[in-house]
Amino acid sequence: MKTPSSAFALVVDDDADTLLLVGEIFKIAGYSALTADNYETAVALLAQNPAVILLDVVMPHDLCNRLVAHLASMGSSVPVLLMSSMAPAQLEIERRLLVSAGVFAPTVLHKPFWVDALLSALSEALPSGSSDLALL
Amino acid sequence: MSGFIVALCSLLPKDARLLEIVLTRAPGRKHEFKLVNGAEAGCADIAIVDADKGESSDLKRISADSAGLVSIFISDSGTAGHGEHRIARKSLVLHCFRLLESVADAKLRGDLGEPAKVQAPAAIETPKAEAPQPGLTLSALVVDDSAAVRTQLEVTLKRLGLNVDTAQHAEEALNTLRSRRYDLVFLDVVMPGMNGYDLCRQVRALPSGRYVPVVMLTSRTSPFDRARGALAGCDTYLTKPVAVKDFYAAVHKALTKRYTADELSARSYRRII
Repeated sequence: MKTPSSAFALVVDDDADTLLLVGEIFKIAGYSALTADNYETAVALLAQNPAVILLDVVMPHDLCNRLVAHLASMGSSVPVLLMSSMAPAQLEIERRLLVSAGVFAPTVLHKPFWVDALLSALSEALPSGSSDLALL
Repeated sequence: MSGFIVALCSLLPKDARLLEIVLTRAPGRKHEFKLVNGAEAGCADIAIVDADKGESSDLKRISADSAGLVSIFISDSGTAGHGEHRIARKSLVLHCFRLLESVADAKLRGDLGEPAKVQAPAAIETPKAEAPQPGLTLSALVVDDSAAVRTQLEVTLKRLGLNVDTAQHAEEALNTLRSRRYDLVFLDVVMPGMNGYDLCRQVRALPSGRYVPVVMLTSRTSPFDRARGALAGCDTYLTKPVAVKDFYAAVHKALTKRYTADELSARSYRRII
């Protein structure tokens, strides 16, 4: 586990392509992305206050539900983006379950997502930021 | 859909994988790109080369066997390599797909040599970037649903010597751009109907919009919005409120990408610093 920078995103997923793509997008936007594929690592990184959490819904060992329970218990206000290839309606139900548990889950990402969909969701979750990034 | 063979020469495994992911997921693909390992490729239509690794022997070999090969160079700085197609590594995800599509379009038009193989080209309807026409005043199109913003930009741009047309929404802008060319286009992001990102993509698909500098001017300050602008093909992304001197600097930078100083002064442009 790397030491997080001041603005970092926590990505909890077991899909290598998603981790690679998401990591690159965060780097472009000036964030670092740290990944976790197990409960203990994820909880340790959560304690360091990530700016946003990308959370895959379907993972081994009930990881998603356990992390959601942890976030709810700590009263976290960090935005959580749920990701999954499940049917859109089902994913929306999952998002509402998070919201009803007290977790801030503003939007979802349907896998496999195109870069623009990821940027759009992240813009919704993190609507303001530094304007001095040289991307163009 | 036309197919192109893309040889990856000396790319880092991560960059090669990213290209594969992006090309697999990109929506509305006009062309099919088959990625092949440069070390094993015979001939190819396009080569993507890691310019930070020095001269690529694979590129040399493929070039010798491929008529009209177009090379795209990736580097940390975005300036290494030769030729016009160069991408900074950090923005590979944002720019590689549009650049590949653009190169493929140009190859089909015959601008960059014949496509090495596969299907016949689609009907050619797009001209190359037009040379500036001396004596004509520079013109800008401002697209914003706010009358106050349109007026403010119009007044500011006229001070620089530009003629200004305005559009209230995307459809009006596209109709205008189908009938005439501009030297500069300003786009709002949040508008009723089509947003500025989608409009920018459509502008880039028009013959008159492929090369025009596009400036996005918006109150959305998320770095992810800025990246969306880059992905859509805008040249400059300004966040409101923008200081007038920053606005003038952005206009000057956009115009000097396309015109020389002499061409600008011949077209009544007055630089304000």
